[in-house]
Amino acid sequence: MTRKLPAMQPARRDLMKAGLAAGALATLAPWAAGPAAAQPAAVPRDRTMTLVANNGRDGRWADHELWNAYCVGANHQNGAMLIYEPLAYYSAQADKTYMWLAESYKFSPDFKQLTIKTRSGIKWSDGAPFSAEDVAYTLNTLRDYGPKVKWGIDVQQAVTKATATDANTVVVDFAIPSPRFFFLMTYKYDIGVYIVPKHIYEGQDWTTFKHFDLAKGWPVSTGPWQVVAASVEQKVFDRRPTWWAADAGLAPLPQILRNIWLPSVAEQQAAQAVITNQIDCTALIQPLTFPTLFAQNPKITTYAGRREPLGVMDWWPLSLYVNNEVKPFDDRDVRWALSYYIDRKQLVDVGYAGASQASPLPLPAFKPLEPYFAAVKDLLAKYNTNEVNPAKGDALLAGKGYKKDSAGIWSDAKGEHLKIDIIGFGASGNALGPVLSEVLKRRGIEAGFSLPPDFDDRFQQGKFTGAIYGHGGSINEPYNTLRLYQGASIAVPGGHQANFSRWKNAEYDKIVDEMYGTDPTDVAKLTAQWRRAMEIWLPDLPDIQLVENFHRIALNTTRWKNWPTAENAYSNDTHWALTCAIMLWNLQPV
Amino acid sequence: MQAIYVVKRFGVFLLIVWVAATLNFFLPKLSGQDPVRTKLLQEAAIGGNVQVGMEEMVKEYDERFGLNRPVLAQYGSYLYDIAHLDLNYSISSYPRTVKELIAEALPWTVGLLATTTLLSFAIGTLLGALLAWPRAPAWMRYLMPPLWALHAIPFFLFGLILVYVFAFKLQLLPMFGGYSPGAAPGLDWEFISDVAAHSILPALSIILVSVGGWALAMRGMMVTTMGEDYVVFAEAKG
Repeated sequence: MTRKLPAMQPARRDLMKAGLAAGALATLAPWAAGPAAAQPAAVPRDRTMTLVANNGRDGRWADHELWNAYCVGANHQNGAMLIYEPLAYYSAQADKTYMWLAESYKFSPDFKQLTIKTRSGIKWSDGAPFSAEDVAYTLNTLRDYGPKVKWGIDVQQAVTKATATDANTVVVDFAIPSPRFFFLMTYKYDIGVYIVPKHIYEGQDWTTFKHFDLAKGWPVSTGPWQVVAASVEQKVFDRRPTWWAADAGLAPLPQILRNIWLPSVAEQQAAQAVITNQIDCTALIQPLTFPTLFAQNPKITTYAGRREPLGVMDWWPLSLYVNNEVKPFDDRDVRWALSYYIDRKQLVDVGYAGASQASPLPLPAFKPLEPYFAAVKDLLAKYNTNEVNPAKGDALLAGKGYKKDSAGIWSDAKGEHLKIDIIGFGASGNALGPVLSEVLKRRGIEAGFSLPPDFDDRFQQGKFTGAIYGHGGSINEPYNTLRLYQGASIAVPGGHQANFSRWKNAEYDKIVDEMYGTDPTDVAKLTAQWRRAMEIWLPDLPDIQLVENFHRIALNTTRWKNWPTAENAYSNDTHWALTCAIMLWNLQPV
Repeated sequence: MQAIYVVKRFGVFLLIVWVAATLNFFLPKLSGQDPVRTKLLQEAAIGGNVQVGMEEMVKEYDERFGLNRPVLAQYGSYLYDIAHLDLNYSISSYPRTVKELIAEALPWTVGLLATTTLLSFAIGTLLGALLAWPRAPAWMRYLMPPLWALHAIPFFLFGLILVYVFAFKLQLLPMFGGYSPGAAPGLDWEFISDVAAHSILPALSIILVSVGGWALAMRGMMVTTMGEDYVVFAEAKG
């Protein structure tokens, strides 16, 4: 007796049907995957700027619907900086402030009131007029939201009230003297306050509002760019036909008709895409990739041309932070010993293939900061933070009772090794970490290096002995860097929270508080205060200076010229910075 | 009898779901990291600036996500929400919800993997059967070794080679993305062919890597089948 077995394998026809269905599904995926996008008109490739952004997740945009830059999940680097124009731009390369939505501003003598005059004749892209009301609304709402949104606490700490006294005047009253408040609002690098349209944002919950609806023309903007498509694949901005800044003669109407921002991809893909002219601009590229780019595409250049350092200096000089609360790094002699052991040239040669430079101070070597470097030249000669002198390092450690054991490792009286576990992250960690730990090992320090996934958490909470990190501080005067080392602040309640090195010096704190109240344009007074602070900081060396940070980006001149360069330094080419718009309106078709 | 069986099986199913959900909840907790803090600090590191008041922000959003509550209370809410298919906000892509993220990614994943799995199954099975068939062309014997070798390579690594050859050197196919920069999604031939062109290399990397496995399995089954008595008997009968 036989029994018919159930069919275990699908019939051939069923398979074919399933295959066709799956194929259809794959083809329809883009429509299923996102909201209905507008149909942007065709734009010639030679008037299109295609770039690979610095962010994105696994080759996708995770935030393509999020154009409210204040939401904690948002990142202005992903395009929002083109939508919200600032009151002013500042280019550190040109050392120039471009007054923008604001025409002028004036502080009261005690810096407790700021009067901003906004320009007239500016309209949002939906036709509503831009006015002082938008500025006052932005500041007052930030004050009210506080820690719920980005920049909320910065504004809350300072602002008591912002009032639009007429269509073009905003009066901002401060709880504490705030001489740097206008600069806080000014766009530069990643610092700046986005002015939002009151008529759209009012009544919305800023913590979840996305400001995205292409059918309504959202996000609305005062700038020359309109979002015409946004998906996981790309963000597309088309140039609007008119722009108030061009009409006012402040900037030319951008020659770029379409901006396409692709999410970040692996470096080799970005390199291949720029070599084959598929993109006009990459995100960060490692120095060793550039010879290949230059050899395979004669039209590729960088901010520095084809010369080292192959990029533009960032505001982020890199240091070896040692935890000043952990023994033996609480001892300045140990910190100095480590510094004497480090050969910065080796770090540059091995870590960056020669394409970088040593950094003597936690400030970037920007032009407006030159007077401050000059003011401590003699101190730097005495406390040379870049000096390579292993003998001095040995003497300092020996003076602290350390001896080298049979394995050549410095050990204390109990026989415990002098050990430092260095943590790092991202490109700087990869470039510097292995070299740095090897350099220290060769001098008898038991050094290790790792790139832990919880780097930020450990670094912020002081769960480290050594860490490679930068300084998001000063750009045109030294206060913002010095405050990174404050252990406590009376002038700015809650304003001392960075202090990554966990170094404490009450006298230093007092000087930095004094600087807080100083007019940022009073270079003479600031220089004197800076010097007094460095007289404490340099001998103590809270963190060990390593190298400058450079943004190395491949720029393709096949279709676009007038990129920012060292010779034509109107801005940087860091397209994820808040000043990206300056570069875009300067680029010209070839 | 059947009802008891169904109830038992359903019970086991629920148990497995509960164990998986519980592990999914507690394993990340073992790291001791606060996801809100991690996300905010990552953003800060990208921007190079640690904002004033980061601690207050962490506190605010820990409260909003209920991360400041006792772990067991969080676990209870988590199970309740899962039972109601409410996956809530994504912390890493806030303010988007997890449902939105899944809905966005699923069509791409299903579309690519379903197509490539079916194609590699069909091609591999056919090849395997032909290989074991005595009257198959002789050249087929040379086809299989490279496919078996490819089977040992992870498809994402093989994909890099395909990209280098077909997208970079020959410039025949796109290098990355689901469709071309600037292409406007629409139900027109231009866009459909663009998406199809972008799917060729990812699909090819999966198909070429997995075809060998299917073929090997099918060939083995064919050889076994051909040695069965009934086949010998059928052959003897002519």
